[in-house]
Amino acid sequence: MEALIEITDLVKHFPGRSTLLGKTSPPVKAVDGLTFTVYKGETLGLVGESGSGKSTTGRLIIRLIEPTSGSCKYEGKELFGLSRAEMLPYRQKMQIVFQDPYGSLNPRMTVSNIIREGLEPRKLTEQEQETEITRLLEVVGLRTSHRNRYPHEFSGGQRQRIGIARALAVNPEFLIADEPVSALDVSIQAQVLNLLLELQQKLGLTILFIAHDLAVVRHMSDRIAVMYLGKIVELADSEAIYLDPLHPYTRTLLRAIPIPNPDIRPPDTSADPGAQSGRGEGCVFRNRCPHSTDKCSIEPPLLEVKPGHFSACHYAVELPDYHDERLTTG
Amino acid sequence: MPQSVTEPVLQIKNLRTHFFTDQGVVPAVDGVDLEVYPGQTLGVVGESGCGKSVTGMSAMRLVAPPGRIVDGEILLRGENLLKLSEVEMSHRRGKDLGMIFQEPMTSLDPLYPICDPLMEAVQAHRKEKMPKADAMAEAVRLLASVGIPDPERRARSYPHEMSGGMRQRIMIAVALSCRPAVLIADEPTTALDVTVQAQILSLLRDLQSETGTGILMITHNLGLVAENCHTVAVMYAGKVVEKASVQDIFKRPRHPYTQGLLRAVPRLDHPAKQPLPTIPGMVPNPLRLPVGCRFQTRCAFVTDRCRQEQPPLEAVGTGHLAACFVQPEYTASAPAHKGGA
Ligand SMILES: Nc1ncnc2c1ncn2[C@@H]1O[C@H](COP(=O)(O)OP(=O)(O)OP(=O)(O)O)[C@@H](O)[C@H]1O
Ligand SMILES: Nc1ncnc2c1ncn2[C@@H]1O[C@H](COP(=O)(O)OP(=O)(O)OP(=O)(O)O)[C@@H](O)[C@H]1O
Ligand SMILES: [Mg+2]
Ligand SMILES: [Mg+2]
Repeated sequence: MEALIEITDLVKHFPGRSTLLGKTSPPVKAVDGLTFTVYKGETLGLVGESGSGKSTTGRLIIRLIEPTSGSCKYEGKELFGLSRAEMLPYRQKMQIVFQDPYGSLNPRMTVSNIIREGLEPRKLTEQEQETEITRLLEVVGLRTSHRNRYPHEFSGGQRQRIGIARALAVNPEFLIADEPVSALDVSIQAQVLNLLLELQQKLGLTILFIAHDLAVVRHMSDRIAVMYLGKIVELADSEAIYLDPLHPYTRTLLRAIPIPNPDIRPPDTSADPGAQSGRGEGCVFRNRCPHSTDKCSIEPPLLEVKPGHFSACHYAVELPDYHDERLTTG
Repeated sequence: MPQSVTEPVLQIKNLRTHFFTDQGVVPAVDGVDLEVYPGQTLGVVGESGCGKSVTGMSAMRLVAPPGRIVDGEILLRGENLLKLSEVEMSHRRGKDLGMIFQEPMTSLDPLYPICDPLMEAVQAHRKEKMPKADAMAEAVRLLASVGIPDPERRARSYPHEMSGGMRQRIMIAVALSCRPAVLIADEPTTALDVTVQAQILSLLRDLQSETGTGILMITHNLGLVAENCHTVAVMYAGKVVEKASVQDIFKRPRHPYTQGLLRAVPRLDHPAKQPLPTIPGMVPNPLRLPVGCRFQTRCAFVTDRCRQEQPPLEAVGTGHLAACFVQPEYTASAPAHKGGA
């Protein structure tokens, strides 16, 4: 497999701010040393704790924000440090669909102008532009007669589809989809997911798919990376993540998936202390982990514990069998 | 069933909220009846744009022009909120009727640290003025209760410094601060990871059993509906098309739209990267709604009658209502489509 994006030791710290007593709080380590590759034509799913740095990772790759340190290569070419002009061709190859369909659309532009903006680099004639806008609206399932409306006249899900049409207008090679379907109802979600699968098959689109709905991520992804507090704690083929998770945090996540069956009662989460702050030294999940020991005060590196299956847990291979564990803890 | 022994705490009767746009009138909510019982959760699901948020905003009387409530009643413990003055209504908001909005970014003021709206909320409905330090302590406690790590420090952060999920949790903390009788939760956990989602929902369930809060929960996540709701209303193009207990909705859905929704959910036990069953076509243009059933162009079971008459919401079982003349039995695989768009 050929790499499209190679990320090495990516770090983004946001500066701390002054607190009540005039002290400065420590910086937020939003992304804290990520190394991973996205292969051509694959979908890499990115899941994890809210605030674990998923959106920040996406924003760093397309350089909406600047990294603290690290490297990001696109087809072998280093992107960090490129000037605005040098970056321009990559801005067209990479597109992002944002999590927040409200903040990300210009409220003073009509839908057709929002999409037209995306078409600009393709240098189409006026007529071709109109045809393409119509096609894109149809592709994302919006009424073409809505082209002259403004974003506020649409519901949340409709606005998300405008954002997707805008991203596709550029004919990207690499799409970062940051929660692209969380505002959508399941039938439109199914349409958008099918659309992304189809675009991938037809155009070989490579996708970084960020989402919280683990059933959706599994449906879309070839491989999945699980993030916790700025780090990747597990990375493997999508099936392996679900059937044989080798990090305790991944198991906590999987147990919390709501199941669309009213006979299955929600799991008891009272034993889970939730995200911890002051993480100190060692494993990021240590304070919350049912398996932690003294050894976990040493930070476990992300290691390949089975072919293609990476875990950052000292006990990755010693953890109880996932199926047995699930049966005993309910 | 508790429904027969208690009165609903919130009853929405024949609600019509229309938008008077330049192109014409959009009947976003068009004759909706919903009941929220104390200590229970009503789930509202449906196609994007079918009027769920507008229904919630109407109950709070927060619909902005060109939208207007043109008909119906919003009864809070029997009192019609639509008859109150704006001043009286503002006392109900927050205290009796809380809302978690769908847009966490736009509902927090970017210019103020997030402790501001929280302190305001905890001070708002108190007779005596609360010292600032106490309000701050209460704000920090609320942040901790919704699982924000390091709440003392986070209280001083500004909205843009927080992840989507954190902003969402702040809005939830604001809404819970007054322990309202009715809580309208519009996609309360869409921006959250599943472990935090599970935490917040168990928080809501605790609040509910402690204070008897009735919850109207708008969500797209059918897993959440199955786990948290007692009853479910399915909306389509401004109308309720099916209403039943959560068991009936998942096991014996009788409206083809509800059936299509259930099939479209990606499941962990289904093969990955395969096309999902979708509901063909699109919602009708609200400015040109068809005569007859609003789902007709997308329905595999459409008959001539469906094209002429609007099916009323009728009992199809005990406590189970559906607006469909055909009421097909549910099958797990999608039926062949003959609707024609
Ligand atoms: N501009 C900023 N200034 C300061 N801190 C920031 C900024 N942007 C993000 N952060 C912090 O960085 C961390 C990671 O945020 P990010 O938005 O990447 O999380 P996420 O994984 O996308 O979360 P979610 O699932 O909730 O969207 C959070 O702690 C957040 O508060
Ligand atoms: N200001 C407005 N002007 C015109 N139409 C509007 C306005 N606000 C809402 N609408 C229309 O009202 C309808 C209902 O919108 P609403 O926001 O209630 O949808 P929803 O069911 O909450 O959808 P979603 O699941 O996407 O949030 C939509 O078709 C929308 O286009
Ligand atoms: Mg995010
Ligand atoms: Mg809505």
